[in-house]
Amino acid sequence: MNRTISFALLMGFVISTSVFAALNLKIASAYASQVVEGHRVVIEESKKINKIRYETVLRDGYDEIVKVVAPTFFEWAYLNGKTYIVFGNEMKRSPAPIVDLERTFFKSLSSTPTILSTAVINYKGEKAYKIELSAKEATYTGVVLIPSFLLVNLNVQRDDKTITITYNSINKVPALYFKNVISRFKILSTPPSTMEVEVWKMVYHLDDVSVTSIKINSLVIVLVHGRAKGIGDVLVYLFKKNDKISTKNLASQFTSKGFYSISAQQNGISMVFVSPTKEIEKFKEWVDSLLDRSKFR
Amino acid sequence: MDCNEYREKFINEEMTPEEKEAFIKHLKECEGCRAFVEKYKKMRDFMKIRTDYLPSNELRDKIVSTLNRKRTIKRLYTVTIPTAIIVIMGTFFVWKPLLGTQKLYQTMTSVGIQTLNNKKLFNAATSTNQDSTPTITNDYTYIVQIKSVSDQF
Repeated sequence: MNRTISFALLMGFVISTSVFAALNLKIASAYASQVVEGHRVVIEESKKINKIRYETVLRDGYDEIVKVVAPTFFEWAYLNGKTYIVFGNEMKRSPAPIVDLERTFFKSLSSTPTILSTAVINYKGEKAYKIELSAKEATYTGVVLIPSFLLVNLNVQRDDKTITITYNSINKVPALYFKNVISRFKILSTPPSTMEVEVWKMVYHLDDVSVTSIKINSLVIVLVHGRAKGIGDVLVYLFKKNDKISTKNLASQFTSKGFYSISAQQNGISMVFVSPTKEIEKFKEWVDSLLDRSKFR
Repeated sequence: MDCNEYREKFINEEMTPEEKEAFIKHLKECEGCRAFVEKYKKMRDFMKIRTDYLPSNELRDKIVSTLNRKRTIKRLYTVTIPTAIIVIMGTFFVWKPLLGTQKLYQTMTSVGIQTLNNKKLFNAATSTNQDSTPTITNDYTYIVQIKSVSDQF
């Protein structure tokens, strides 16, 4: 008797797991073939800071054009696996990939994720699937409407923060709509410049970062200012290697004024790192790790 | 003797009395030698006046000072002015970039110190195109936006 019950339970588990696995694959493949337009709110919550942004999304499968309308206007696109930044009517290759957690969620769903649960729920009066899956760096909980398979809510739990994406509105649009919009843009396939890549490395490794570029005597200098963990304020000068300015001389100007400074050259870009820090060893290590390409993710 | 031999001996005063007599006879017949002797005598008289005349000290000083002034002006135009031009231009081309570079370092440093002290990036209220005055271009500001919209952070 007990053996029969155990077998029935096991069979039930196997069948339900198979059914949900098939369902998850169906949802993932539906996402990959959808052409939609929607408005979403992205909220980031952490111990340090809470951030919110409003975005308009036009998506064709995994390709998308995202218009961040607040707090700061910014437009970007993801086309055939490459990230572009939109400048007016032009799309220019981004020096770094822009991650959309929605994309990460559905790519995980279509591979072999650890599904924690799949359930049918009522989401704001509509029937929906709630899928919880565990991936490498986070736990995702997505809500997908039935029967349209449109994602309306995604919650991502990480060790340090929670990100929630909520669609206020999302609608399917004609299949050619996305292609029509894309055809209005001039897509520049030229890879980003070395300066852009190097500036991105600095931005990546600094918190509360800001960037400005100044022109002095026809020399363009990019200044990156931010905070590095365990070091404090850091200012980085970046400019194309030239005969007018020696990085060592510039660094020595700061040293004479009581700052700690390190000069470097990388990929034809001259760099001077300046900090008022007392943690000189940490600062040196930080600069070394930054210049070591293998350590750059 | 022919005309040339007569003339040469006449100038050098080498004629014997017999030759002199023969030359006087020759002059009556030769118009060319007569013209030569006349020209020669006129020139000799003129030279005699020049060599007999001694200018006053005042005039000599004046002449010497005029000559010296002319020599000085000539030297000024041929040596001093070109040398001065070369020196001035050399100084200009050698020092201007050095002074400019020094100013560039100072501007770059002051922008950095201003940023580190204010804990925010340098932001000039006005932008001009004068030398060594930083002009903000902000061509790379968008890179920060990438970080703020990418959900990998």
